[in-house]
Amino acid sequence: MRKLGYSPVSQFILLLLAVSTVLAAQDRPLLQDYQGRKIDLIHFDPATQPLDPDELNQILPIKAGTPLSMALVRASIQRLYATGRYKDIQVDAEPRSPDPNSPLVIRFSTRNSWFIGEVEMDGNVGEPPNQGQILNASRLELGDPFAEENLKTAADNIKRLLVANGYYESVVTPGFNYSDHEQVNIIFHVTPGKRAHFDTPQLKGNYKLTPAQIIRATKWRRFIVGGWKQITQSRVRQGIEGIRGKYQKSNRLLATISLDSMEYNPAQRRASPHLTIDAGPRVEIKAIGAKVSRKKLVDNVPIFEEHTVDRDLLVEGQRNLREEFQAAGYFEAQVEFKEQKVVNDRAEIDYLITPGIRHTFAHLEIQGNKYFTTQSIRERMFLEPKSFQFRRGRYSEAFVRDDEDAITNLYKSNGFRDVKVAATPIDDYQGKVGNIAVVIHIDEGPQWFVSHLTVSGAKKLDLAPILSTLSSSEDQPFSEFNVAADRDAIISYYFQNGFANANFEWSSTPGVKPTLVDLQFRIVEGEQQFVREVLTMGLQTTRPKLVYRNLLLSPGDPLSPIRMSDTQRRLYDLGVFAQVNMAIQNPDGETERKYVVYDIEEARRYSITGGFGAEIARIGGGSSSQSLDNPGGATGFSPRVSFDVSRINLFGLGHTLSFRSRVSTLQKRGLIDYLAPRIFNHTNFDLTFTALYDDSKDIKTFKSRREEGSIQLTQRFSKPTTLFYRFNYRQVHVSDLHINPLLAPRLAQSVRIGEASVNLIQDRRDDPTDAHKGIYNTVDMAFASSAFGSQANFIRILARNATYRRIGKKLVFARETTMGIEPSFGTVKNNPDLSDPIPLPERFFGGGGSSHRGFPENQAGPRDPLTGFPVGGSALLFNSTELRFPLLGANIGGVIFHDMGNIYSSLSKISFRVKQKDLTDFDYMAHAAGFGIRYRTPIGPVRADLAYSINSPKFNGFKGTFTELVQCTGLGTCQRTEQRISRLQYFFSIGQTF
Amino acid sequence: MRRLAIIAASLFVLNAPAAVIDRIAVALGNQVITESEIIEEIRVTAYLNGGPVDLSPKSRHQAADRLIEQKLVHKERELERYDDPPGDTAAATLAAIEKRYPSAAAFDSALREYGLTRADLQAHLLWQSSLLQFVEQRFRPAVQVTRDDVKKYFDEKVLPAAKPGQKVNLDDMRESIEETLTSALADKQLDDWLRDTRAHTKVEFYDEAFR
Repeated sequence: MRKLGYSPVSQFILLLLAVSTVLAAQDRPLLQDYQGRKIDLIHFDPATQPLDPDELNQILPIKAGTPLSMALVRASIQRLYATGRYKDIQVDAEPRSPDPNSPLVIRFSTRNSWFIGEVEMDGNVGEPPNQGQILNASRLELGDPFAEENLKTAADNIKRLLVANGYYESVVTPGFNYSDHEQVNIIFHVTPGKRAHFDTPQLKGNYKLTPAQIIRATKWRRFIVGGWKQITQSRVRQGIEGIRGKYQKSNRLLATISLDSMEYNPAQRRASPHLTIDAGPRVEIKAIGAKVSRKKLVDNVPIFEEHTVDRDLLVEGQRNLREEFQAAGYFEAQVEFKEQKVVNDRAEIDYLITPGIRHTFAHLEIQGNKYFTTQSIRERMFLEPKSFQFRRGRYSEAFVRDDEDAITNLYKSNGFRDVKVAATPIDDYQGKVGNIAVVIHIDEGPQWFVSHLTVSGAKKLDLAPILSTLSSSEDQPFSEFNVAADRDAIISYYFQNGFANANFEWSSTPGVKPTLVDLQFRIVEGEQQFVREVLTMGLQTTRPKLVYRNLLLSPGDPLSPIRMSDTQRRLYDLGVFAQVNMAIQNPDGETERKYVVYDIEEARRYSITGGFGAEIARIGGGSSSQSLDNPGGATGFSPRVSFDVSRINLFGLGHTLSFRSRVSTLQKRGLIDYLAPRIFNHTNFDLTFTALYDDSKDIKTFKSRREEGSIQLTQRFSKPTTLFYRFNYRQVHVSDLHINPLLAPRLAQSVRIGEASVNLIQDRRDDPTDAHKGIYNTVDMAFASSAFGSQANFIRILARNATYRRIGKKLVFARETTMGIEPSFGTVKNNPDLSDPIPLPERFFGGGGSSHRGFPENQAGPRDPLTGFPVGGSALLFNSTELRFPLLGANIGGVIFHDMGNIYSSLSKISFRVKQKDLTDFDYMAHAAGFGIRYRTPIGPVRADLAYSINSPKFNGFKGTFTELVQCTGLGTCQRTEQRISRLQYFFSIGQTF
Repeated sequence: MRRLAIIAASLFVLNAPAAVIDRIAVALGNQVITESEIIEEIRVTAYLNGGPVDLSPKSRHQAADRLIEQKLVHKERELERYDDPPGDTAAATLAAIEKRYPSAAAFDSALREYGLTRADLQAHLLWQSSLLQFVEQRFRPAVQVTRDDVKKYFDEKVLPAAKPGQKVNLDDMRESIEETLTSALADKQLDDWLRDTRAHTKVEFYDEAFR
């Protein structure tokens, strides 16, 4: 031994200790040695844990001051792991001292779990695919547990998507960084490379068509120009569908086309699709025994839609054809099918149809109903005796079955458990051969009621708000439908309050009387979950306060999925976010409190749109400032272009600044507006400031130039109802007046208008661009007064009511009525002698494609007695009715319309008189009727209307120039010519009339 | 002397080290199997088989596999709300094992040699009866043994195994053959179900616990 300078005894003691230490290390204390010893302290390493100390204390069954139990240690590990917030847990025990009975210090060493946060990509990838599709391909979901090994799979998925879209040389590299709240932000670095082009497809199999025909069907080659198109996933799919369509046209319904692979040539950057095609035989479907059009066969036999032939589809076709015949009056129609063998590349399927006698469903009778009226039962039935809409009635065996079931369900859901419904058809009704009647006999039976309802199990949540709304409450009819509805209501109520695992069971026992039932609802509430914190990610320019104001969840609130969705919707409504993803972090973990995460993608701040359009109608005439020809308008063509720029999310506050412009031969317009939504933190109020410059000649009588500033407060009462409070101040300059020269100087003065107005809109239409049902009301009231700096004093009230109603499946009846009055009042300060008529540009003008198609644009109402140009009025009444119907396919429709009304010189002049008294009388009701075509586009219907006016107005006009008019007026030698608004009017534009 | 005292004190401290008393060995879904469970499973199995306690990595993996199946069955029983087996079954089996020993003390001593307690053994026995009950309730009702199956078994297994001169009659043996076949089929269904369920469950092994 090395000399340490110790005595031999000391050295011996040291040796003993060293040996015993080694021995002790080799013979570690068994767990039983610690079992039962008192726990002095429990601590965690690291000290900062994913759960709060209170939560940890609640979760852990092992407690300081109690004896150590291995079973409890095991249970502690299990419960901590089950929270989902831990990846690894190890428990150490250390005695306070070497004394075998000394208490223990227990240490939990943990490694926490991580969860997916933001998933982004960088790299310039030409669409398709777009960024959203690329990130979706990763299948990394917000809030889910993160595992580094899954990143490679995610990158591979993205690569697969890119390759499917022609990016064979793409490289995808994942990266990630740990963030707070146990979140991991992931970024995929994508280098796409160049997109490959198609190459000549390699075909194999029995394809029967020539390769050229197949390639043409794919549309993978460029038309005329030649060369191959770039590869995208949708082009590949459409190409295969194109081949299938080609085979279908020649009735090869059993053709199979499969894409085996895409062979990529990196030198040329082309990929050749390898296709295996089996054309299959021609499948001929024939109807024997009755005439059935090809279209009806295709509609009813689903083999065409499913691109395959199997027995189930043929049976379905058999059923559909039978019902088709029954619906046409062949109530006893029989249909069978027979498959022939394939002979000479031809497979025949014959549908053998025996239509039978053609009947008429003449009469329907319902007997035995006491609880429900016949009317309320009939509303639920398909069976329909003959009527204007159904010439032979609507009858089939399927309808009879469905109606029996519908009536039975109606009664059962109202407590009639024992109801019996039987339909009896009667042939040759009232002795008429071919007439059928159906008698539906209802044996209602007794109605069962709930005598007593007991709800048990609700310990944590107060059910009082919902109990009063239950359908199965005492003295209400008892039915399983009602119980199911109550179950849904109760579970939904629990769900909204954070009880994601609530369970509902029910049972019933006989009540004190035979038709009474005692109901028992038992609820197993499960654990309630709460919001730990709401996390938001992805904000770069938006101020966090804007987002926080719209959060409907706070820490400690019950975890309600509905509030989560409502918050998401409010964030979308701000109009500054392109995407708002939401998730619960660690959804499967057994913790009481959870993070709610919103991953927000800000929208592009600038948007630029441009457009062009045109109008063709009687909008021309009098185009030169001097010419007074054609006061009633002549055919004109007005092209227009528009250009808009918007900057959203100004200052990160969600405000928007827009510039909108529109230029056409009739109008030059520029507008700047600033929108501040949810002003002063009120979600229902928006504030808008607008500056407008408008120079237009859409009224042939004059040219107007308008400069206007306005401020508007929008108040949303509810989804359909909105109120606008507006103040505007404008200066209007009028020139090129085509009216009596004596009036021209006064009416040519520019005028300032200061006006306060209120506008109410109530929109309950199903589709604002092309309504099929609903109602639309608007009332606009404006008050122009010298108190607002106005040089004219008047009130304007304009009200509109439109209704839309379906008739049958395909027709829509639409009606709109508009009424307006505009009385003036008082005199203008500094001009007390002036009677102050309403300035020309402020009067009502009407007529044209959007109001009354019997008139050209803005040509209705009073006219100048000398020149015949319209001068507007201070009252209006229009009514339009349209019958809209499909014409050709799904996108082309037709309308038949009738418009009536006019612009009147004053409220008291409104009249329904149809005859014009003389050439100066315009206060009568003009009528026009016509038809139109509508072509549905993504932005609304494009329309063309042709109208014929029954009583278009006659008026005095002047042929010549304005200078000539001035001269002859002075001399009193003006030659008036009698003119008339053309009876035939046509219009072409975008959007429904109303 | 002072230096000696310091060294001695240090050695004393080293004689009372912090020990890992438990850790996660396997994670499956949101459940875990701890190292102590694996060791206990090895000890109980060794005791019941009368063999030595083998704590090698291979033995640990085998025990972990058995415990994984146990956890999957437990979870299914919880989800489907199967009844628990009566506790007296396990107690009776425990009593029967105890009877093999001359005294209760001898029994306890034998258990201690394997590092076990009565509670550990009883828990294991209870799990075995739970498993039997699970098979009974879940798989047996769906098993159908036909007359042809019984005949086939009789012809292929019973007859060849009969001793020369021994008379064996199908009708006499029908009931026991049916029981044998039913049990075998039910066990097979259990194996299939276990294999299928395990394939759909994410199982992660923690290497530290298998060293």
